[in-house]
Amino acid sequence: MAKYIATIQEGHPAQSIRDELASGLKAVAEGALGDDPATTDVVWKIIPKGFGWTAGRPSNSSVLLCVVSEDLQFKARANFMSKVNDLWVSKTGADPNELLIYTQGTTL
Amino acid sequence: MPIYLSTVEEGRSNEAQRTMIAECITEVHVDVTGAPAQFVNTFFQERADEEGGFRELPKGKVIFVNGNIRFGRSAEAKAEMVERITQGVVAALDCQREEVGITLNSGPASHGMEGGQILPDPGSPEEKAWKEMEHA
Repeated sequence: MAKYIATIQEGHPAQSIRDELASGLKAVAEGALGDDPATTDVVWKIIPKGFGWTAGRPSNSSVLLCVVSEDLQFKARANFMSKVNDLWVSKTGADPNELLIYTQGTTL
Repeated sequence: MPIYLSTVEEGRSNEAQRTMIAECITEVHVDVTGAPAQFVNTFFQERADEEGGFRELPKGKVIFVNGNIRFGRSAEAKAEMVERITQGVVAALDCQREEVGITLNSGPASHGMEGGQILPDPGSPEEKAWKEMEHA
């Protein structure tokens, strides 16, 4: 069972298409990891304006924390992250440099 | 990466103070690790949640900085980062150092992707090329 914790900043294009993105992210987890979409969670954290910085300056960066199996091997993990990245960039139009994807076995 | 998620007591900080803290964290991380500044993400929230590491701010703390960095930083480097960030937060919020909590969690670089690329290990040959990539 995968879980995504998507941290985006208020006003980011992702905010208005959260349902579409969530469906896409569940489909990626199913296709790349074999996880049932019904058991995949997508949690959204919306950071208010004035609460997010990159390089010490206000930014529009997003962070996608993906909770996956601990023993996911490198190749499968890389493939999964690439598919998440491609989905996010194509749906939101965001610069890939403004997206950090991180996979881990437990939440922060 | 890194990602620094700071949970601050509601109403305790203004934008200027958060700017000071974000600048401090960025400067310290870049100075100690040599990582490019454009990879240093600093977020703030006023409501604690599990993703921030706890359900509520630890008692007596006005801010808790949860830093997530790549494996490979020495204990000395992390200790220096904690000390300097603590000093910066104390100055920005005009609080006592005992009111500042900070933890640095490390994770494998290969578990992350930024700019569509798998993150390299600190000090690896791949990191040199990664640093030279244009991340505008």
